[in-house]
Amino acid sequence: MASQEFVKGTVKTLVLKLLSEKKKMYGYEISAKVKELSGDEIQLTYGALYPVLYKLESEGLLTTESGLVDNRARKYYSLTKKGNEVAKVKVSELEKFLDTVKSILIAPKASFESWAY
Amino acid sequence: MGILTPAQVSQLRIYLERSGLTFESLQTEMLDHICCDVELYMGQGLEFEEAIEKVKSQLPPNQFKKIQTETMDAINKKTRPTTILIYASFALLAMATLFKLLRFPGAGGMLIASFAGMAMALVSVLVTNPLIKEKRRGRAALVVLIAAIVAFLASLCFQLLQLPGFLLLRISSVTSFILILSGYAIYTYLHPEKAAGHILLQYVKKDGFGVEKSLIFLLVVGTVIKFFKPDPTFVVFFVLLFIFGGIFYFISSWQYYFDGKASLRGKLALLAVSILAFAMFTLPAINSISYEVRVIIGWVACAMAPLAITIYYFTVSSDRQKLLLALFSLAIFNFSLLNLVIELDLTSTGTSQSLLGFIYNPVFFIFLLGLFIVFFKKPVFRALLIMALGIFVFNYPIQGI
Repeated sequence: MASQEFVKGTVKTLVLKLLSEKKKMYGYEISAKVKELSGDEIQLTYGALYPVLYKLESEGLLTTESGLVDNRARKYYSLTKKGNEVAKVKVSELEKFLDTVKSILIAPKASFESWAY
Repeated sequence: MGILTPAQVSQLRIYLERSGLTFESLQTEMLDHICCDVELYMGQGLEFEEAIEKVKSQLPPNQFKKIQTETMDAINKKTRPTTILIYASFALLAMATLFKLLRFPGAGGMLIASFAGMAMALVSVLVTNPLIKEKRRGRAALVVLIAAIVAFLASLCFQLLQLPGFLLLRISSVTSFILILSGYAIYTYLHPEKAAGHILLQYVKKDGFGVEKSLIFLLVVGTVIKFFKPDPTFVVFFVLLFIFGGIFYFISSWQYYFDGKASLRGKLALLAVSILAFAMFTLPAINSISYEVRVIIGWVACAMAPLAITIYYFTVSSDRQKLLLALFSLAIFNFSLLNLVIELDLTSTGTSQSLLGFIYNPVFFIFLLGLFIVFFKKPVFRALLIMALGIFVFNYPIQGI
């Protein structure tokens, strides 16, 4: 399973990305989708997901609506217009960042030969 | 995926509430999430209780409390108007003081604008704070308390502007403080488990240091004016310090009722002493009571609080330095007692004069200040010293005031 340390910095972008592909989602659905798409590698804990959802809502990137399902109140999130724009930017930023990290990780290691020159 | 029965859902709601998740909209959302998780495990063949245990086992300790705190922090940015108002009113207060000291015009107006800002900040808390906007327990008491504080600030403005009705505002606000908070104290004593979830008590427990910083600000500015540029404006700062400090520390003392290990007798004693001390400490703010009575009940209150704290340190406290703290608290109690002796004319005039000289000298001030710095991290003792320093400086005899 992916380390929570790495997950923490990407939750915001993952949430925005998922919501940009589906009109509305609720908390459990978001975490289940992330788990499914990552092949069980990324598990969004309650603590990682909800503060981010509330923060995005307070920043005006998400709107919410409530519904009643199985006799329980359920809160759905969807992107605002501003949220849609931010989602695109954040996703492309994350992609670029991941490429950069990759290029560092797969950089050729200093070998014994390089000492000779 | 099975559907949970209403009884099972309500069992989960109680679990969340007991885990410290009290912010209603977050609680509802988490309840839905946790129900989905439980239903998932039940779909895999587990019984309801087993499914709950499985969900719980995956949670780090204090998870829900942490989520609530982080969520509140995330949305608190929305409540910025309150923060801006608080800073603006304190900045105005500081500027009014500076203008007054430099004898620039407009200081009075600024002072009044600052009180208006404080009142608006309090009202804005009620309107914008997400916790209060929800149906939370203890909201009614908070609304009434804030109304009384606003009335008190208005009475200060009216007094400065010499408008009629100031006394009525003062009497009604001060008696409201005493009645509301005494009633609330008794309620907390009788039903600690219910009161623990109340918004006011949670705020005092969690963000109390913010209030203390404001009290220290009032103390420092008041002290600077009194000692470096004698001017009667200093009184305003001390009135605010005593009223806000009195209310804040009275409410803080209720934390003791939540302590399951504390004895019932100790709690009852605290209840009686704190109500009496708070009432006697606050009543002198009503100017129409005769000066002699105000001075005497004020000093009795000032002696009761350190005495109670001395007893606390001598008996129930588990602090490693409890004996030392008890002795210092006793010294502060003696300071109030000597003042009372002087005010009651229990000694001859000559003795009173020498006693005054003995108490009110820079050495004692430095002693109190030193204690404040050294024991800053002891909440109960820090409370005692903030108030003791305020009382000391306020009463320090200076010629020309």
